[in-house]
Amino acid sequence: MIEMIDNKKDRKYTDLIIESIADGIFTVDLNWIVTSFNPAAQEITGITKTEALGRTCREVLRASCCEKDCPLKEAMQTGNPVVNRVVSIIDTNGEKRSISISAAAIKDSNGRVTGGVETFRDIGSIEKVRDDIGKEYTCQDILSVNYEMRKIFDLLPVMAESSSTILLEGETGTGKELFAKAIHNLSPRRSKPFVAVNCGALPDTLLESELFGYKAGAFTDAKRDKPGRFAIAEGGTIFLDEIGDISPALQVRLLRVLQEKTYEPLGGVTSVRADVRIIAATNKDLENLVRNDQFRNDLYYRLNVIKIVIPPLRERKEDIPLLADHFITRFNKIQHRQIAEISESAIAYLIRYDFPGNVRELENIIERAFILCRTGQINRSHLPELYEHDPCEDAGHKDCADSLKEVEAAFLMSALKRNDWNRLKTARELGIHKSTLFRKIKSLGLDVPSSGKTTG
Amino acid sequence: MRIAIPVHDTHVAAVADFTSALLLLDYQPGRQLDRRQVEFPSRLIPAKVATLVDLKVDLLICGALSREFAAMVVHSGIELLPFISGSIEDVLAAYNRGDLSDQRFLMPGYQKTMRWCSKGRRRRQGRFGWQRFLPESMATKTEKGGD
Repeated sequence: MIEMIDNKKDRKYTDLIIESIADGIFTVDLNWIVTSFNPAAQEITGITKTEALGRTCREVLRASCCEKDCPLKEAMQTGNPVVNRVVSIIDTNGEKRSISISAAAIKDSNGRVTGGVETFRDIGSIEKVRDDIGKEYTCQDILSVNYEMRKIFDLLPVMAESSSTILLEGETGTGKELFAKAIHNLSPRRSKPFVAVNCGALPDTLLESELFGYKAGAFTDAKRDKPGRFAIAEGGTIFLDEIGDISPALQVRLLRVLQEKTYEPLGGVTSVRADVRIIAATNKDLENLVRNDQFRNDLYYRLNVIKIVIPPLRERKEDIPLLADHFITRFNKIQHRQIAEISESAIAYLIRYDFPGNVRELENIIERAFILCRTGQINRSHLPELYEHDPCEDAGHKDCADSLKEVEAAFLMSALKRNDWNRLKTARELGIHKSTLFRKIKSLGLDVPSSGKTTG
Repeated sequence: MRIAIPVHDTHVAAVADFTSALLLLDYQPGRQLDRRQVEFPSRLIPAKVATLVDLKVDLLICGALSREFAAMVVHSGIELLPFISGSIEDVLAAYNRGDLSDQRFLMPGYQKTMRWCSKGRRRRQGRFGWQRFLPESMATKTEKGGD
């Protein structure tokens, strides 16, 4: 609620402030006629002040909410302000733009509503900046600001160029298939098929026929030849997920494909040559399985030509805000919703969680929040209970919006760790002065091992 | 001739892209034969244009609309009379009189919008109906892509 300014001098100052604010602002009287219109509003809508004054606000703003869900109407009727509602407008160039609107009623000194004020911000340009920033931290469909991940991003094109077998190791939900697809898309085989097989999902006998196919008469009901996944992936890439779950017998057959580049379909008498790149993935420690004689060591060495270990989300918590933002954009597109952002306190809450289900779990959490969130911002109340006791609340902190600090702390610690706790090296890598780094370490209360050297 | 007007309550809807109600009028100069209101079955622009085509609409009188919507309407051979504002009855009366170019029926910023709307007009099957309602000087300018 905004009280009307009676004093002429105050009014002059208020006009000056409104004119200089970067957000679009206009005011209306009780008949929805525009009575003031600042330069930022002209910039966003494309309509000049002269054109706007005296016209109804719906003709001027041309927003998706004007006729059914007008924030100004709501604010003027209820007396409660409406904050950050994301809507679309059509500007004078005929372009659709996303804006975030807030509205409040204007009251006179007797408390009577005399009009309304609406402020709006072009979030289309914010989204563009986000996209530009995103490109720096993106490899195909994988996003990360984490140093370890970005090292992998740098190596992916090189790995993709060769035809060598790749072994992806990472916990469930870390996006192993995304990596496999990225490698395929970056490789010279990109125009050929990418075939994914989940080895853990099929019983052994079925998996064998699924991978290598069968000939007519190989078994009852095998009336016709059926090509296997290797044949379908010919010239392309086959992704064998959960490779650690295959039986010893199938391990032998797979070893032959890797060694000889040939296989025999079930019931076949001649070998078929396979020109397929193999990318295998597992969430198990294959080396440990080899030690326990559960996985053939010769197959392990054949698979382990290039190994990529994908860090779990708990080891790259600085990615949580970026990924949450990415999922919001994705679900907005899929579900035709207009959620603008996730609040800092919600991010802080997520950062304290360890995500045993990794990125997939974060994606599910955001998807759930989309169901509950009816406003423009996902906040803590839209997230599930992730801990029995919120460590932050237990510690007695009232304000949990420490997300940026936590992300910064995680980011600095990972940078320090990879530089053997050497502050000067770390400062150089991050492009900041060493005194800035020292100040940050102190202000964030980081416990940096004393064994680290402070000079480079 | 069948005229369609995206509407909200008693007036022309401010933005055709965001409106679901459509007023249909079978019209002959000087009199209306039939008048009914229908709903667009979808809020997607291609589906809205398909509905206009299915309903055999000859002329669309509307408020603001996106370039995408305008292009599709014109490509579908439907005459388009955009950036019109006001109550349905006033707009229809003005249309009858050939008086829709009156400032009070044109949305704010219409000059800027007409500039992009007039581009490529000749390439398309349909046409922008406002040309014949505008004063000659303005029609000539916009046709050249000027002010």
